[in-house]
Amino acid sequence: MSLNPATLQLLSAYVDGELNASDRETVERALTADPRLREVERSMRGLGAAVRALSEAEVAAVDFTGVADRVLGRVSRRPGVLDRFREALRRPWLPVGGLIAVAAAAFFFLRPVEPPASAAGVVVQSVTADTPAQLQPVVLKTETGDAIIWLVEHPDASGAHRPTVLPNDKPTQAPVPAQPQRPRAGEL
Amino acid sequence: MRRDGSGLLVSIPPVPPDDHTLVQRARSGDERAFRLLVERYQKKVYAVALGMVKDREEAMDVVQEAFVKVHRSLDTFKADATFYTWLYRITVNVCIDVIRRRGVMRTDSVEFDERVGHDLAEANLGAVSSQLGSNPEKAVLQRELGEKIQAALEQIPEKHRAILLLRELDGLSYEELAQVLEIPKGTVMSRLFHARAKVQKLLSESLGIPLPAPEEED
Repeated sequence: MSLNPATLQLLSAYVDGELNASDRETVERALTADPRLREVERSMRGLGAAVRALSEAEVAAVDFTGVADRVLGRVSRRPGVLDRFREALRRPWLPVGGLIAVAAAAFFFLRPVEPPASAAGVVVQSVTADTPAQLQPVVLKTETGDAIIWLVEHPDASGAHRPTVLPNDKPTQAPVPAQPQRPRAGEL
Repeated sequence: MRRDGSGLLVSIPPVPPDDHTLVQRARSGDERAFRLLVERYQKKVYAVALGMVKDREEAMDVVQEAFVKVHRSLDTFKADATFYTWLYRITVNVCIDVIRRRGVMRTDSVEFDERVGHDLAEANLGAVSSQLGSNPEKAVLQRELGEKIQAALEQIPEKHRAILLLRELDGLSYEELAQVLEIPKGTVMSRLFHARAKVQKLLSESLGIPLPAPEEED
């Protein structure tokens, strides 16, 4: 039997006691049959024992007095800005959420603001009709004192509304004065 | 104090609180509970850190940094998790940060490929195991062998070193290693094997053990 990686990998897990009963039996049969595999097993176990012994010797030479005090001294202090920033970066949802919140706030406060309709400075001086029509102003006063004015045609005798045809060369918008004023219902 | 079967009074040492109890107490601001956790694990954390960063001062810095991080993250610790696997995960991450900061992430690590089986087959592992396996405590007293093991550990990639140290020093199970290193259990098995194979190969070379003639293919 040759020492192939699959067998050696199983052997490594066998040394760690991590194989199921079936694989364990397979490895034990291979160990019985191949003395070189037994050498590898000894070597793996020996390596583990050597690493542990080396480490124990190193750790035994260190004085751990005061380590807990130093740790507690650090955690009782409020972390610095840099530490908190680093900590925030380790939690990706935090900076991402923060950025979204900042972007939303910026959008809300910096968006172009349309002047409210009540501030429109259109003052209707007069209303005329080029074609014969029966127009009637309708004034609606709001709670803030503003007035909305529009014109409606009287229906004809049949009850149908006839559209008022305006000539093409006439402006369809009222002129806007330099000093806007609030329209008053009484100006009509 | 209580009486044993023969009627004699015997003293029962107080049972130390388990990790979860200490974590709960530390969460609610009990400094003494957190101190107990530090004192319980500081040596184990130091051993892993020293194996990883290979510098005593830096290893001690890692210990402190790891526990500070643990303290700051106590609220995120899940009750169904194991404290020491969580602690080791933080420790390994701090070690990797330290290694990366000093810019010695190894790119010249030992190459490993599918020929590892042949490497192991060719190496005179019997000679290595006679020095390592028969009496490891005695073997590590031999300074030269200890240095060679250290050197071999230094030459393997961090991920292999970490898994080997966590397994050999702390005896973590494959399930625990998978949690600490955040890798599948199957990867634990192969990574651990590769780590051992590399160290054994390096040791057989550095100990100057002549390789036997390759065996005939079956």
